[in-house]
Amino acid sequence: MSETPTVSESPNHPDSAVAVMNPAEAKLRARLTYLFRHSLRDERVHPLMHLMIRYRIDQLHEQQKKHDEGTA
Amino acid sequence: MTLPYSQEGMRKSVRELPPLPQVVSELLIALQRDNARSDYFAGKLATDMALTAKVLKVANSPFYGVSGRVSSVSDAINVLGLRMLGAMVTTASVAAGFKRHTVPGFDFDGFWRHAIGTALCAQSIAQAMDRNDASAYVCGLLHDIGRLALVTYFPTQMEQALAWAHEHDCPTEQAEQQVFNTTHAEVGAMIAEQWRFGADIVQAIRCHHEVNLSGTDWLADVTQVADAVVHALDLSSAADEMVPSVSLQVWGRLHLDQGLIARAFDHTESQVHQICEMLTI
Repeated sequence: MSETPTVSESPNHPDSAVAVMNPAEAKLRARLTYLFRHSLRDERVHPLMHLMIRYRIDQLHEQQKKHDEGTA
Repeated sequence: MTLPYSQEGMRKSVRELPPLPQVVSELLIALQRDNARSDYFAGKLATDMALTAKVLKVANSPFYGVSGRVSSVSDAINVLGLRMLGAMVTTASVAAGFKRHTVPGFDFDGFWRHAIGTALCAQSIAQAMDRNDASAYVCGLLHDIGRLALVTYFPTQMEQALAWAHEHDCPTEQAEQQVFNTTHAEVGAMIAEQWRFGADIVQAIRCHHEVNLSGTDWLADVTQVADAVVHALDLSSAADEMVPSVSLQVWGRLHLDQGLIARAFDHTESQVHQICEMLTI
């Protein structure tokens, strides 16, 4: 992996446990949590948020895999 | 903040809106039929020279690899497809009816990118549900038309509403309620009625931010979810982008599994840029 993993609070859910993730993934999760801030105010985490996080993380891993293969 | 607008006053303003060009409304209604035929489209479109010229220009663009060889509307439909044609004529015609004002906080190109993205996403979900995907497409395309009307005909007040939304970090429909005593969803439904769209489309536009939806048509559910998905895809990259709430009841009724929704995400992301590029948005 091209970026050093860091310890960061997972923004997938405000109460979720501390998770280890790379900076790009942390940034992505933070942006998605921000986008869903309205529904997070008064509801539990919406299934759409889970699905979108999964989709974007899969995309990111795919990009990172291609990048790593290209630089190997 | 004062509330100078009554529902009747807003309705009066909507009645003064230019009608949707007849050729466009006929094309959109035909597009919703299961047996939409390209020869019918070609015949209708050929009656509008300005739209015909736009269609031919796009079909002859280098993107499609047939530059200079598309000389008729029928050929253009074969190159572009009916969905692209529907998006093009609707966007071109509706955009022409609403003058662009410079309103801080409102991005006209972003508006159309969101509208086309919602149309594509609604289409994809409807296809997976084996429903009329063309109705879903039209509804997605027009779901925020009330916002366009408010920003065009009440730019000063809309600027206030957008500033209020920014200040309170809330959805714009809450701010519109403060300033206009109504929302873009309600205004959009009035416009859809005025343009003689079907009751299901009018209702879906009116209810696309209602989180307590019950007893509504499938189209209202699909439109609400598609709108939220496109905000969540972050296509606008606006700093203060916000995903509107989606009713858990609505979500549950659509039975969206991970595979289906991922295909809707893919379909929307891959095509929205292509269509916007074609429409020079």
